[in-house]
Amino acid sequence: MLRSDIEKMQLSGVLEQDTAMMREIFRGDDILNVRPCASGDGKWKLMLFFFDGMVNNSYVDEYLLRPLQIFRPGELEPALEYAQKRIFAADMVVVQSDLATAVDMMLHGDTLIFIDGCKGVLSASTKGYNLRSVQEPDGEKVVRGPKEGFTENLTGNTAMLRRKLLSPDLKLQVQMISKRSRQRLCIAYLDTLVNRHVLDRLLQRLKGVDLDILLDTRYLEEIIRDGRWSPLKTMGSTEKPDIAAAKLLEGKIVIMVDGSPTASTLPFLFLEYFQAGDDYYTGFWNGSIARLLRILGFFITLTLPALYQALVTFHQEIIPSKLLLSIAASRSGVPFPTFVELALMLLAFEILREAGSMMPGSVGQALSTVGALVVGQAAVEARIVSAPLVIVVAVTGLTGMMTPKLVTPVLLGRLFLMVLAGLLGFPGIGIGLTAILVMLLDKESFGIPYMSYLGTLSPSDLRDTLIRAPMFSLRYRPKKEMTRDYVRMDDHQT
Amino acid sequence: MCVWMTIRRRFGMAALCLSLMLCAGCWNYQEISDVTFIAGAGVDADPAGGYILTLETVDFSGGDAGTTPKSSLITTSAPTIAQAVENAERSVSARLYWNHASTFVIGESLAEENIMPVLDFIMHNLDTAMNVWLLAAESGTAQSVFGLKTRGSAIVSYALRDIMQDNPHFGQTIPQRLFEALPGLKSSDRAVLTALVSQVNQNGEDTISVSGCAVMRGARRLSTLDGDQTAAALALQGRLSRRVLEINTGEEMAAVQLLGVERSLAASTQGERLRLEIRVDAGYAPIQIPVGGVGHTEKSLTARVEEAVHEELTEIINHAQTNLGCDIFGVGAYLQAHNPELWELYAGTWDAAFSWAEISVTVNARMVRDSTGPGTMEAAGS
Repeated sequence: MLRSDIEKMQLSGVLEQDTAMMREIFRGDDILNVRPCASGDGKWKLMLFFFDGMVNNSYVDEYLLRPLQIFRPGELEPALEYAQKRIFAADMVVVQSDLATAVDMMLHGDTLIFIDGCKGVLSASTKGYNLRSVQEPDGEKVVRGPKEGFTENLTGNTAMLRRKLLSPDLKLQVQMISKRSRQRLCIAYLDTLVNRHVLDRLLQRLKGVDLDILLDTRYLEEIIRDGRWSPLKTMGSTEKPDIAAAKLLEGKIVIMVDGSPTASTLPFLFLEYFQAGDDYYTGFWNGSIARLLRILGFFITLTLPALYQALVTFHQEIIPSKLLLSIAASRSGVPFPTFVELALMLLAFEILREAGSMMPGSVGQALSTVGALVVGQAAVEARIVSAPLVIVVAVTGLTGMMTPKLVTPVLLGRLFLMVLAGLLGFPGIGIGLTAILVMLLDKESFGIPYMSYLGTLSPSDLRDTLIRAPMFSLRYRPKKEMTRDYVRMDDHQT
Repeated sequence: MCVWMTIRRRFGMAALCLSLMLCAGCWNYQEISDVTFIAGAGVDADPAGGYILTLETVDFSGGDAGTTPKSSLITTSAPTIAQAVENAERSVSARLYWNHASTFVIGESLAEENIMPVLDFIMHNLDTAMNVWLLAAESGTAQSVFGLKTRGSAIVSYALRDIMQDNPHFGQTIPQRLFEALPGLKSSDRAVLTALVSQVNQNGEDTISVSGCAVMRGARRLSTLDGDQTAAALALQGRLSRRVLEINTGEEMAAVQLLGVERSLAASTQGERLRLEIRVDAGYAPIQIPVGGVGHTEKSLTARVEEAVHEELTEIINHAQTNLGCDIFGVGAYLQAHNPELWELYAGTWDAAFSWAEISVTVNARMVRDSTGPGTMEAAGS
């Protein structure tokens, strides 16, 4: 039964009827627990509804059933407000007059208490389902700095975020977004910093979302983000509350979904692909070098196969003689054209990488390593590919791992440049890079230009882009257009 | 309006990309395995008329990256050099690739005739790199040069390149690339010195050697100079950077290393006769001095060095004036640049003026480094 059907139902106040209605709603559901009970003197008849495994049973016993058993109403007429305030000792007991809302609360782990003679229902917070403990996320490990990560519990996640930003300025708006699964979504932002246009745009887009189920923020991202067909993302993601808090302090918005440990951040800029938490926790020298290496690695992994292709098939005169002869000697006897060689080896690399990531832990690592060594060596010895090409592919693959979030866009961009290089040589690479640059410059993320930082020479904007300037020099927030309060640090602190 | 701007912008982008693609050269695609690399080329005069072209190509067959590549020779002959190249192209299955050719050898017979048609072809051949090393065969044919044994690379052209480029030659030859020699070769009133390649027997083994130079004038070989003469010529050109000089002390030989020779020139006229005063400043370092002999003091050693250098320079000047009859030291070019009024007097008859000129040479030597040697040295000035 859908929520829209439940919304049409009305509570009668007659216990048998309301019970029958509830059983009808959850017909076929064996996990629903229906617990009839009464007051100590039997005058008040009640019915408890909750889901096995969703509630803390001892909490239900201690704070709902036991007080009820002690309670002797005498001639007192059944009243929900009286029961809410005087009987039940749970920390949150709410009177619900709307059945659909009450059912939602029960689905989230509350216990519903129907009282015979009362047209309404009490919803008591008795959540007790199993939760994963707070752990360091696998994909965002840091050497130094906070190691806690979000879990699948929205309440816990909002609490973690609240602990980072102990300020009433932090606003956490919760709404239901999924019509079937009734999952909650939380929009977090700092009221005095957030860009109102971005927030309005987000809320407008969320109004149009009509999802069946929301298992992860990714579902939402693909619907509301800019450039929905683009392999580049325009909404960021993180599993760490410290990073989410840092994004909030830049005027960004964080979206969390119940059931997903990944929080989405927006707007997202291209340079954020090269930023990592470690940059801010290990000193500005380390952070700057690491960031520059990532950027360099990105360019290498994107262009190296195409450059090799262009040099070997169009521009042999540029290659030094000794190197060219070495390459030529390696390629003698290889039956495939250079492009096919490259494509085959890159494909093999991607297959090994994907297979390695699918396999558990150490097996996956061994598979990737052994596979790469064996396949590469065997291919060279069998004269299927040449040795310099194996080196090119290896360097390409390794540098690609420096920016794991860019794997897919780089894969597509690399293929695009390889095709152009195979057709036109260096002019083809130039055309390809120009097209990619135009595409990047044309992109926006919720109204903010995607390449914001790179289009300016303003020192305050550049301090946290290619390098990570020392904390004492980061006086201003990165982008004026994204926040309403540009100044991060007062003068006397620097 | 916005939609129209987007369409127009996209159309503009597509047109730009298309125009860029038309400027590119997809027709230049060639796999590296589909070309024949030319390591070096040599040209001889065909006794029957025409030219004999010898191409040394790199042979990768049967090897991989770890195997030293071998060379193979392609020899063709034709009335013209262009035809000879075309014949060579027909004899191989893959396109000839000239871009990485490193040496160009001129045979003795061709050098004595006229090498200009060959150079003209090279200049017009788009693929040939103008930075190939230019060499002349001392005796025999360019073809025979490519058959000589080498101590370094198995490919003769690359061995010659390494000698010219990487190995110190102590001023015994003149490493010169084609683009450096061309202006002089095209001119009929300038002499160009070109490295000589020959075969020498060392320890019972015949190997290739680059020593001395050929004097080319008007694209013809006039004469040759041996290693010592070449070094002296280089010193007078102000281009000698390093050289071992042996000094005869009467009983034993001593040796010093000349380190940097600078030349200064003063020209004047004496009546109609040209007067040239050449001053050579040479730094040296003793490397083999007999104990108690002439090198016992710095002063005596310096005097001996000056004497030896002066003797060599005077000899080569006499040889140039008397036997060659031309300026091989670049004096004319120097005058043209620094003393144009004087140059105007002799421009049309420079060879004769040079041959008849009164040339005096002053040598100043200075010990710049006291390198380790078996002898002993007293304090400077004693």
